[in-house]
Amino acid sequence: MISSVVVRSGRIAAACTLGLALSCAERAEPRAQLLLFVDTDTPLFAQLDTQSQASRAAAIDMLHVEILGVNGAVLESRDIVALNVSDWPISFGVVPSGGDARHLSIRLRGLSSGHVPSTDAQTLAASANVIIDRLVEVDVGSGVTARRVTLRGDCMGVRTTFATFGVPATTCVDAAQRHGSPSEGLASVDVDEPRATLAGSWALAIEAPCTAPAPEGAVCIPGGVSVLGELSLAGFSDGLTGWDPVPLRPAALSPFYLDRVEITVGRVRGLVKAQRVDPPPASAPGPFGECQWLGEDDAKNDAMPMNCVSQKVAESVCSALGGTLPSEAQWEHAARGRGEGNRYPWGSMEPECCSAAFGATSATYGDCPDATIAAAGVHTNSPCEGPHDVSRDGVADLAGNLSEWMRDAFAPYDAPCWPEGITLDPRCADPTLASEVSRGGDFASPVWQLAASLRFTPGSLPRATQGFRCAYPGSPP
Amino acid sequence: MIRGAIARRIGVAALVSSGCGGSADPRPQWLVRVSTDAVTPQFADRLRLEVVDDEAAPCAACVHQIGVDATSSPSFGVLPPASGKSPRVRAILFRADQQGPDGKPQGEAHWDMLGRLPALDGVTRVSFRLPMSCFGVLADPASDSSCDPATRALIETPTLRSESALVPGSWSEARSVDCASAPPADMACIPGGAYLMGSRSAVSASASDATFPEHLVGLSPFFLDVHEVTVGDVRKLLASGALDPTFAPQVRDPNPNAFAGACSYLGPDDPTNDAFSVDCIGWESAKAVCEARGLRLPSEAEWEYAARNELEQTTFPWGSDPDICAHAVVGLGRSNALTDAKTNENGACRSAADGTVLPPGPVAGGSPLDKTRRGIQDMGGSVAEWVADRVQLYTEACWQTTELLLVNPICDTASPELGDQRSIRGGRWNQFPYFANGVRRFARVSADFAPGIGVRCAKSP
Repeated sequence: MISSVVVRSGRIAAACTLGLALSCAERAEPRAQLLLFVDTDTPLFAQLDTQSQASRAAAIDMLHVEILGVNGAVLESRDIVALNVSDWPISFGVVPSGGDARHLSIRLRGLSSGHVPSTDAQTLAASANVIIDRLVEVDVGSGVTARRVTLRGDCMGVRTTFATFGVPATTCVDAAQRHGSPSEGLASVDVDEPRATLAGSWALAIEAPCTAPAPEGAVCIPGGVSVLGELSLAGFSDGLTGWDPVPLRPAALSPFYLDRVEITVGRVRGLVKAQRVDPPPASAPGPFGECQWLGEDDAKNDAMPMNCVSQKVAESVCSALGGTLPSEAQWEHAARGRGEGNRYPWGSMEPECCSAAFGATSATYGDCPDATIAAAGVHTNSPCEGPHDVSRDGVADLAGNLSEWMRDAFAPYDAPCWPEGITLDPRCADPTLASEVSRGGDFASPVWQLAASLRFTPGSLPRATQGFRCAYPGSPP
Repeated sequence: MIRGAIARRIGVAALVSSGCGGSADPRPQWLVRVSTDAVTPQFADRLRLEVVDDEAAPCAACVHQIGVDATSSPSFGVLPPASGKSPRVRAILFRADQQGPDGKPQGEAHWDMLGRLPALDGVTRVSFRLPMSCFGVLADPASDSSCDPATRALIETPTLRSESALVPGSWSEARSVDCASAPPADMACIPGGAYLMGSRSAVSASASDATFPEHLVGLSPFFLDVHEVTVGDVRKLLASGALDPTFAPQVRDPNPNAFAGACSYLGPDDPTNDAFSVDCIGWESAKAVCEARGLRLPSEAEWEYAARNELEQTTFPWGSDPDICAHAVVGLGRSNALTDAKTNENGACRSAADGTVLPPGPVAGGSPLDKTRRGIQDMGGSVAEWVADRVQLYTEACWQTTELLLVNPICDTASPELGDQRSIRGGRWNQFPYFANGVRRFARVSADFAPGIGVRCAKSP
């Protein structure tokens, strides 16, 4: 009911007000200029209301345009907020100026204002992992040269490199050409043709269901795009027991299965009795209480989550079950709402003591002094005013009870072990790094450690606060 | 700033009758011009317009969102519904960072107003004003009520008329008011104005860290120390007799693992650490140091206003670059809080990604990159700073008002929740980098002193 005049005028407006062209697209002067139509295949926030299967983390809402001079200097820059489907493709004209009157070099960066808090040069550089960075080089003829370029979600985080000493510039054109030429991928367009946007068509950002049968006790976490990390929690780590959840890091996830609850003593006992894993070594109680393992013949703690395990023991149990430990990307995808960017597995509400098993530490932060290790999954259904420790897919105890081992090596998000740009199922696999990551709070954690983006390492000692759950393939091999 | 400029133009683009857009659609429709006198984009950078039917739900094609900025008053065309009845329009003006998973702003620090469209007469132009006086007074579509700009009360949804648009940024309280006189040596003028104190949401390490909800604060101009008070400054005050020796800082304990083992002050006659920011002083001492200089402690609201660059409301004193370790003297403790409870020092910034390891301890002169637009140094790190206020949660009485904004607030009442403590602001060399964020707060009882907690002084012109 909002009139289409408004909607269609977005195109005209961008063209006539960007200031790059001196006239409106419809009344273009005959002098040489580029009329650029910038589209995207990422979802837009406006589409998320109606397309719940699109990943919020993949959406962009802004285009940062820079007109570059012959030496790569920024001659002019503009931000264009483009929230509605009808705002895309964004079009504007650029008139060549200066010495090289035919060659135009334009840097386009598609971004989400939620992931990139500002468009000053420093912030853009610090946020490069989550920006779709596209360099366009065009030689214009006389009159209007119209070109269309699509910012591809597959290019998120892939760096543009500029020409130096005879090495040509590279830019991500699409998944097949992550370091392609800036003059590639530009389609000619007829300015009078109506144009539809590709927004929302990026395959990786569309919810992908599991196709393999479900392993016992596991739930499907559909595939999609997540952005790992949380800007507002920058500075919450100490570099020894945790790394900051910045810079942000994009991840595309295949569908996978994840254990609904942490691996229990009962499950491990079953595997030991079937001689599929070695009996766990007996451990001394740590500073936060008793180890749950009472030997392979004692069923008393079968409903309790298995604690006091090293990452190696956890990995062997998952292997015996036909899975692996989850990667950080898998765990965070599951725990933050599959691209919703939630702070906690249940959403954004602050937890109450009955929401999850946490807060037993008495020394500094005794948030919930009565907390103890709890039977697996009991916090999904406690008589509680506040939220419950259960994710949108039904996974329990991600926030509290026990911290959980990951497969990844313990390294900051800007360490070289992480792949450049968005990739499918990324993880940090650096065998030279001595320790592995643990995710999620535990019954002894202060409340702030329940934030699902935070990254910890518990060191090598098996602790009473440390447990695990396993991940399994979501599609047949 | 550029972001805003373009956003506005996109907004203007939606104006059907604007120069470049060519001819207006000739069909009968309402042209709704939305305007505000708020400072944009600082108080709002997104506008969502909905056409709401009598069941109070927007129809699928009746939601449009645009970016707004410094001078926008965008127009929207609204076509008449099939029923022939005049619909209501709902305008929600907010910031992108307030957006929840449903795409709508969370909390109350935004505008949400309803207006009924008048009878249609060809192309009918109406003005939909979102004044500052209605900030935080949210409409209730179910009961058909919206904010009355004159009283800030909810009244029956008014019918929109043709009237002049508000001019963005024209809200009088936000005008920058310069100091009437030149600043004293080594101080800078922080012009008066208004800002949104606090943050939309924040994980907090403990209750006194909670930085929400946001609230509007108005401040008179004031002078603020460019640097934190140093050991040398305090020794001079002691030597001249301006500062009573009972207010001297705690002297460093020769045992480095003792609680006072990292204090910067070495005694009245030892100039070794003169260039370091003074720490290990309690609130009374901090106050006395400022008074001995003819100055006062800044209020908590003043401190945050200066650290976040006033109306710019930046995340950090230096702007928004999230690389805290690169900018501020923080996370340079000897060990970390979780393994060494005795010294309780965080070392997050000591090991750089390239493998180099920085020495622990404070840095004389702080960090040149930890600087606000007015040149105030080390509000992000170095030492944290006592402020004048007793701490209260932002949900407690000190921070509440029925008026639109709190003017020059200073809280001097103990918190029912947190007890009688004084607020402390800013990051420090031996703590989490997290505290470099300009909204962060913590508190101690006034007699407490600790390594990394010092003082900076202010003065009213």
